[in-house]
Amino acid sequence: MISFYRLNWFLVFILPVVGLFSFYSLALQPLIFQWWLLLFVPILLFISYFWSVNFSFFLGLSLLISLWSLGLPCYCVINKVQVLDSFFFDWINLPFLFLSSLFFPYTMIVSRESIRKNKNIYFLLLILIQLFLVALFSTNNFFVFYVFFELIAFPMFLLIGVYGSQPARIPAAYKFFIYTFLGSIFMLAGLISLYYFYGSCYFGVVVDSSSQIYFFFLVFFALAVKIPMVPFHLWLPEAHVEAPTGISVLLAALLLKTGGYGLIRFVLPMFPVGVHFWSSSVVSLGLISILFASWWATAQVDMKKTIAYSSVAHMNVCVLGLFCDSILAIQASTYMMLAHAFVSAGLFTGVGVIYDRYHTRNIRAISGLSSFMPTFYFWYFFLVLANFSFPFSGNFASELIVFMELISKNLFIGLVGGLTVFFSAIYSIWFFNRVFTGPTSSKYQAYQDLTSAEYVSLSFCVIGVLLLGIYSWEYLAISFEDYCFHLNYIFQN
Amino acid sequence: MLVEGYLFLFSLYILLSGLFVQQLTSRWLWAGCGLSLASFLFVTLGFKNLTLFDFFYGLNLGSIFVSLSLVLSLFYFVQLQQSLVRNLIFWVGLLLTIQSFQWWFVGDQTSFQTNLVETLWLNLVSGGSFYHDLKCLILVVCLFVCVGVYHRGTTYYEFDYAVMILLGGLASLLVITQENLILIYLNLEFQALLLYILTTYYRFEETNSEAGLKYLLVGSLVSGFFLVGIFFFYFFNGSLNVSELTSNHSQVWLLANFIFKLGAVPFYFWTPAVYQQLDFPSLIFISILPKLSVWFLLFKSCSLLTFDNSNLLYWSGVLSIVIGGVGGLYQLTINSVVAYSGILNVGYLLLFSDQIFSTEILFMVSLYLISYYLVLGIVLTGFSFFSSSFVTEFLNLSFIGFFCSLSVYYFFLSLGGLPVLPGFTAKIYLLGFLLERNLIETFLVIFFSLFSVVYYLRVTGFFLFYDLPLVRFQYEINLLYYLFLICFVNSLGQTFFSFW
Repeated sequence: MISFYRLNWFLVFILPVVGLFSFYSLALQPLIFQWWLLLFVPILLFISYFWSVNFSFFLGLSLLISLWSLGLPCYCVINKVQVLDSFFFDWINLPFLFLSSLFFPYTMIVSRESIRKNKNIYFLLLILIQLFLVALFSTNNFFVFYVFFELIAFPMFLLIGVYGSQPARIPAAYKFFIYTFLGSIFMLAGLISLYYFYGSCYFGVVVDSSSQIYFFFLVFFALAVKIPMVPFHLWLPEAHVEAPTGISVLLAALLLKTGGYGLIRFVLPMFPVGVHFWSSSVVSLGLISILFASWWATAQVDMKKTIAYSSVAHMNVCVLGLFCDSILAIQASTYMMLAHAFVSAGLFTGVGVIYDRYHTRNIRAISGLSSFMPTFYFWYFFLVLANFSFPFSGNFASELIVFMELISKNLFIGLVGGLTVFFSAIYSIWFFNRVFTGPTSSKYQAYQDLTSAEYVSLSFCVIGVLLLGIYSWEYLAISFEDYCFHLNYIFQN
Repeated sequence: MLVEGYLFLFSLYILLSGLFVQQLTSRWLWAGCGLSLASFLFVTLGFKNLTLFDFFYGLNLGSIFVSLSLVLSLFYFVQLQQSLVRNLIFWVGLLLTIQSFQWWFVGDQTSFQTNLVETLWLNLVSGGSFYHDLKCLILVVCLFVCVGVYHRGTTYYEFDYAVMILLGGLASLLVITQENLILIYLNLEFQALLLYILTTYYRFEETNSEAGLKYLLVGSLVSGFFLVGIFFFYFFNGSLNVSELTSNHSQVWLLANFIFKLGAVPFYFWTPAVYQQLDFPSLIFISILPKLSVWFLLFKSCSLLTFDNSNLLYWSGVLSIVIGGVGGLYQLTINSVVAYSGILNVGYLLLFSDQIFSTEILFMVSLYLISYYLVLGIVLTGFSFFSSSFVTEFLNLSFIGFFCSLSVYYFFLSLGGLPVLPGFTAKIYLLGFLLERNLIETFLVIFFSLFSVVYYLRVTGFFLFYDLPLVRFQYEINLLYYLFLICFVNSLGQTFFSFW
């Protein structure tokens, strides 16, 4: 007999996935005849019947989705056509789609060994998040963006709460969910009123200049929670510390970017007057976030917390770039998100390497790793350099432009914000110095250097950051036209 | 209603005669109950001059009813060890899932949109009304009770229990068909008597008797209010028809009764006290059925409300939101969480009491009612496996499987109104109409819906986090699987339908 036991639980998750595919088909109405998609059901049944579901299945599925989610956007961007009604592809969201295509297989590889229980559910949840993220990064409708933005919280709540390692994972999961929900329900109210008053949530909709101020206020909180800016950042260190390594990578590399992406894609073009009205407050909040997070990162003893606070600081530099009313700075902010994804993913993977071996993340408990793990030392050195924006890294190029533009607008903001470079050098070097150099102890000696999977993932991040640093001007040049088209308000003002 | 009522009584008669003649075992008794309800449902729907084909291309909400009733009625024949039947159910569930995809896909091609836009009813067929929806919902809730009892296993005097559930369904149906206030009063009393008996069903438990006595005393007081209202109405207007109920003085007394039965603020104290002692099947019955019939009476008479009385309902709604949001926070049992969430959700809808005669608002309110009570019924049916209602004991019971916990997570978040779940569609409409009215109300609802999400999450946390199950039961979880799937798909359809 068919083992229905296995089949059934497989179906529970696959059918929603198929449902999502059919959601896409709804968007692809002119292109695809929808009934084809029903074929997915017997095909998936067939697969699950004859093929025992394992890691390689999920990795393959994820790669398939990656290819699929990059293929059409690349076609659209290169040929400069929009073939779909509901999706919009240009040089603004192509980097984000690129990131999500790269980092889901990456996360799966990273967490292959470290997740021990309920592996299949873990990978299925990852695939669900991937589908949500692809939809989020490619839609042109703010409401659809909101739906997927909120939907990501469900699997993340489970991934943090079930797969974390310590008892404190449960409050961390609650905190993550409640912060996200609190922000996004205001966003829901804003979007519903937008829909009722203007008939659409499409990003080209023209909104009254007086009500833009109100809409910006409602919508901004959800994005500020995700970025995160300082009063709303408290979920982030907890979630990073309690989540398993793969989920930390996912959080830092992709989920924080949804906030910034929402600002670029929807808030800046839709509510320019609101942006103008609130920009001074947002920028001062961003400055406070930068200083607070950088200063706080130096005081941490948990490695993941240090990196988490450094992400807060870096993401807020992106916010400063977005709100300084210059297209070059907005481009550089996007680019910085891209580079920061690689750097933070690599840094968190490194912490996972240490945690898998020594079962601690305390900076004070570990020292002198360089003599036992020289390869790890080598690759991690690059990542730490990139974290304080050393030249030839993607972070350097983008931070340079952001601060140049900031200083050209306002010297004070540029200088105060620029302190983050100094601070990040302090905490990065301090952290690296404590962990990798200093006195060694024989108790660390028993462990091996990087495994092949870890080697591949760390070197992938380093090479990514270096390539981003070398080709930065290429992106800025090629995407300038799209940014001008998308954010044309700047020329109107 | 005449034909249907006869059919219902006929199926009741067959069931009871079968009981006496053939000495049915308890599980078969519940199978018979469910089957008669399901057949009644189908017959009811079939009488609208429709073929089954047309019926399948109706609205999504109708599809929820149909698929649920199909799946649930089939589940009566499942025995734990019979793999053949289980496989049959598996394939039927799969077909239904595909079918619901179909409903979704054909949404923009058939009369799907015109149905919704023109008539603004949630009913399956054009020409239907909220009345038909409510009838379906009452029957589905009775089905849930049957399934719940089936899962709970045997208790004593099952025969009495079955008769009470069926009579309760009949009473609720009768309440919503009457126009005459005296008849409404009698039917409400008929329903209430069944509720008192259900509350004290385990009469050897002291707590149950106490709760039942409380319920009886307060309920009798409030039906006294109803009588006074009828008296005033007849005294001043010389009529007993609900549709002519325009007297301010009598409205207050009748509204007091309605507010009591809904559990809204001035008269909400009884709900946690009574619900606390119930087992899950009785909880489904008591927390849903009387509220549904009273909602229908309110819809009938709301257009006639005077300014003072609609204001009274409005403030009752505001206070219910506050009490329901804060009161549920640190509750120890599922039952009291259900009680406070009921208070909260009733409060949302009472905010619209002065506008309820407008078709759009009535559409929104009925959408909210149906999605809320349907999901609540599903959740409590799922919980019927458990003998205890204390949240903290569920961590020992998580052996039934990770997916069961996952579906509990899903359903509770749906109650909280998070995206792409059935509750979300309802919440979109709710917030939309609130924003048109008043910003302060909107923020009130937003703020206290956050509270409700916090206490729903707390319940699901006990299922999800504290113990990872290794053993999985096969049969019990199947039910939740398909409910999960069907609701997921249908809600997707609903949500994207409205905004695409």
